[in-house]
Amino acid sequence: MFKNILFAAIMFLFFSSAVIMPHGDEKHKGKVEKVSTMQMENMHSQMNMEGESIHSDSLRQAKENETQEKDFDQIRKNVENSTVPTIIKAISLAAFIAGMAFLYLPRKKKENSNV
Amino acid sequence: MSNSEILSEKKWSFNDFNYPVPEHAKNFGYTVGGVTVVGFILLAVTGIIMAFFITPTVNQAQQSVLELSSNPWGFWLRSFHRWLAEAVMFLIVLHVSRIIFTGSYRGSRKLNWFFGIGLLLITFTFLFSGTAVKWDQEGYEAYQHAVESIEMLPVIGTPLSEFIQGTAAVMRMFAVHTLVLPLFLLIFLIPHLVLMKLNGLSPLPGRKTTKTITFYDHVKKIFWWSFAIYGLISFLAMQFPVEIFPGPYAGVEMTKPPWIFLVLYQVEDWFGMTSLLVFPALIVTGLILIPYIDSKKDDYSLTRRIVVWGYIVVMAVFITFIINVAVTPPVQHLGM
Repeated sequence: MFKNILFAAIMFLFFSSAVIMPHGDEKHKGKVEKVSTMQMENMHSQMNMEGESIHSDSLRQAKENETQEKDFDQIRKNVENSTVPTIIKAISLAAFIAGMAFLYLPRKKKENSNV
Repeated sequence: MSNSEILSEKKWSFNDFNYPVPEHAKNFGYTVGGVTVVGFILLAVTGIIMAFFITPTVNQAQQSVLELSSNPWGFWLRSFHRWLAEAVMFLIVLHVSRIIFTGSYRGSRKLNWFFGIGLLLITFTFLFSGTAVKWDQEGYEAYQHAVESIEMLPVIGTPLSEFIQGTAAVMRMFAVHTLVLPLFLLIFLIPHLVLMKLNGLSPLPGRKTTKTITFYDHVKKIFWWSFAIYGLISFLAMQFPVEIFPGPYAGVEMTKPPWIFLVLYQVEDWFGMTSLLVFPALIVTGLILIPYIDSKKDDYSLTRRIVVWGYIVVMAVFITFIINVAVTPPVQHLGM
């Protein structure tokens, strides 16, 4: 019984990612909009205050500029629009219920357990 | 045949670790320490994942946290890490309470009590440094409090505060949070667990139990309690995500620290910044003295009652402080 439940739980966790992927987060799908330009001749001439080349990773910088305009409330709203929070809450609740069930469901005592 | 020869010739199996433990090992009070260890493991796992995404510099730390949170899984991961940290702190308070109520700091367990105090201090520092690393308004205020109180330390105060200030501030807090503290945690946790095994599980006060369960039954209880508690924490982390504040803005104080630090916040309100050093030192001294005040094995001795009731009164006062600070607006402490 225990092994069956453990097997079912592992399979559920394993396949949950496959269930989530086709539905939510379309906007998070990778789409290359800019490219990294690691040009050595510019490395010394165009440094920012932290000593990093401003051309070292334009993808990262583009993403930073994107998030700089957001505050936490905006991010929270965006996240709430995706299906991921619901999935996480469902899995969390499943873990909570599984834990409580194994703690409190009555089980037959083993004969040798009380010495 | 010597012991070492016997050990080297023995064929070990998992059943060798399934030794009998007292029946009360299945009580929640006696599993809470194990549940806390599971919490530390989860904190390590979530922290390691987050470390791949955090840029620990003054200019980029907060942005990198926001960037991580822009992804729904990252959003949950960060919130879960913080909720876990506060839950572990809460579980440690429960664990310490159980140790005091059952008098498990006496006799051969005194040394383990001292390792436990070390672990308590390390966990406090973990929570503090983790708050500072994200470098938003809350983190900045926490960091400034640390700088101002460290400056008051004799001899090492000035060089230490200079070391953690400047453009490398966040990087150094990050190094403390992810390298120094985990090392100290292991240094204190391993002997804590080894001593627990050597001493055996402490008895229930005033009762002699002959019944036993197996060690694996005890571990199963820890495992299922962990499932239930951290499952709930995970749910709460998504339902009530931990905020990332704007800023940081120098010269203003608009946030309050995590709940456990509100005790210090109240004392700082009354006695100023010096109390941030004096008050924790008093608490640690009090904890160190407990096994010396109550050293008799008698469960009904006067000193035992003094320690138990003293602890209850002190905790009641601390809870009052926490509630009082929670319902009042933040006040200016820095530079006062």
